Amino acid sequence: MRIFKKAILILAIFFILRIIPGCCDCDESTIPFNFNSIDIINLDNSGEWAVTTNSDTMKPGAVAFEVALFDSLGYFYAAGPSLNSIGFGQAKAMRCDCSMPFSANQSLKSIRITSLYALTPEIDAGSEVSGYFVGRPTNNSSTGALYTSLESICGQTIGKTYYDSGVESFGLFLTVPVENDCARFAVSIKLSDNTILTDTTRLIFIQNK
Amino acid sequence: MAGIRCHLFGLLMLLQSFFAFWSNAQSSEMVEKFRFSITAGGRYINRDSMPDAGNLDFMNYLYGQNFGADYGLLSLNFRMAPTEKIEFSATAVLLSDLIPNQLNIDVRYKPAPNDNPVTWGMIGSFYIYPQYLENYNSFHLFRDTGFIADLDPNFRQISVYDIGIALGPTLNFSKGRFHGEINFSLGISGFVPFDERISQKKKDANLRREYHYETHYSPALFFRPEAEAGIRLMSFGKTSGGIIIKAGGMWSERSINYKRTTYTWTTEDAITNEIKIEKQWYHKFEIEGGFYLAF
Repeated sequence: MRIFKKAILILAIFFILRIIPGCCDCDESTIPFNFNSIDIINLDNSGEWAVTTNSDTMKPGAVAFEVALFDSLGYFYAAGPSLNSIGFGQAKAMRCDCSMPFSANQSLKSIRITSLYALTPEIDAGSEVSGYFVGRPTNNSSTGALYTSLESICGQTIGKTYYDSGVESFGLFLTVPVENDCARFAVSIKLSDNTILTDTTRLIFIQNK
Repeated sequence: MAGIRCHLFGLLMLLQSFFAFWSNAQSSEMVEKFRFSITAGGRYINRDSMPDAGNLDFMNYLYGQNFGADYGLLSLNFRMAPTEKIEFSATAVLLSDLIPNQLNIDVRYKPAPNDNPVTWGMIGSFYIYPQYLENYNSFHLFRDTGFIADLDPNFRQISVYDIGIALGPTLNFSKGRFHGEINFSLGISGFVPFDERISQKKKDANLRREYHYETHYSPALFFRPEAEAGIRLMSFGKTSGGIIIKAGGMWSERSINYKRTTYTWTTEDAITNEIKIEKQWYHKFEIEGGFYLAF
């Protein structure tokens, strides 16, 4: 009985020692980066939630894109904890897995979207159609099921710390059904240092049925 | 193990001392000073199922079964009479989840206690009890065709609490082994307000909208008769035990009014409506049986 108690005591001390150094002294300073590249990919928003797609065909009322701004040096991703144990996992408290927070040198000032094709008889080619779009952050800062205004998309980038990666990405969703057979947009994003990043979407074919 | 035994022994000694003190404290003859009862039974809830019409009526989605009791009950009741005129009663009720989330507190006042078989008094009650509200998203599933009517794939079920107070006359009788009680109460009750969200998306389109329901406390008058009867099966000293059966009902015409905010596309685009729902009859009936021990 005494041996059993001693064994329990030793195990308890062992586990306590694994828990005590649970707080790491992480470097909280952020790594600066620049938004100097823009990437636009198509979204399939015909279902419940938008997913990226390689298809250039969209429903008239479900025209949507995902815009990503990042540093041309490449996408930044913090290294995740490696899965190097099987069964009873290691106590992470025994070593420091500090995240790598990033901070952009610029924030988004405005988003301007121009339609390269007529959308409806009232909206001609070359029109600015920013007011017909709503946005939705694609990272964890998106809450609820609703969209947000493009102004809110820009506003949430001020002083933002990027914990997962040095990428600002958000969805753009057209609020009016396209009556033309095809659609294409130019997206210009003005940054806080007055630089403008511009890209065009791929040519979208509207599937009416 | 020795420590646990020691604690249990201590607890038993404490209880024994308490009951000994309580028995000595009963200088005058009374039917009972302290009573513990445990009863089991069922609760039936019925409400007029009104058509939803243009607005969601949460009353239509209160949980109910076609056959048998809607809820199984296990009640633990404690009664204490510090004087001959006043009696306190607390009841904790466990539903199928075995969580005591229903509470009834009663105070009985008998202005002229006597040795007659029948005495009268007044009873004041406070109660709160839960019931399930479920599947209310089906209102949108049926109505909002062309939409993915609820983006939340989980089964919709929440507990809503009905809270109320009541006051009325009580009639007690005691003859030989038999004793009983009849109460008639009038009171006011209402469902504790709750919030619910229904998020939707149009099929094959970007359009999203969200309904946000914020219910109001909508108090309603109710009538609540109750009856209890018991038979003493054994007695030794000042302790007695037996079986009891009790039944009670509640009739009320009530509604759940709410504020509905409809967001389309974004939270900036909101339309708010105050919805007043037509009142409908709500009936509750409970029947329970079990054992009691009186000191």
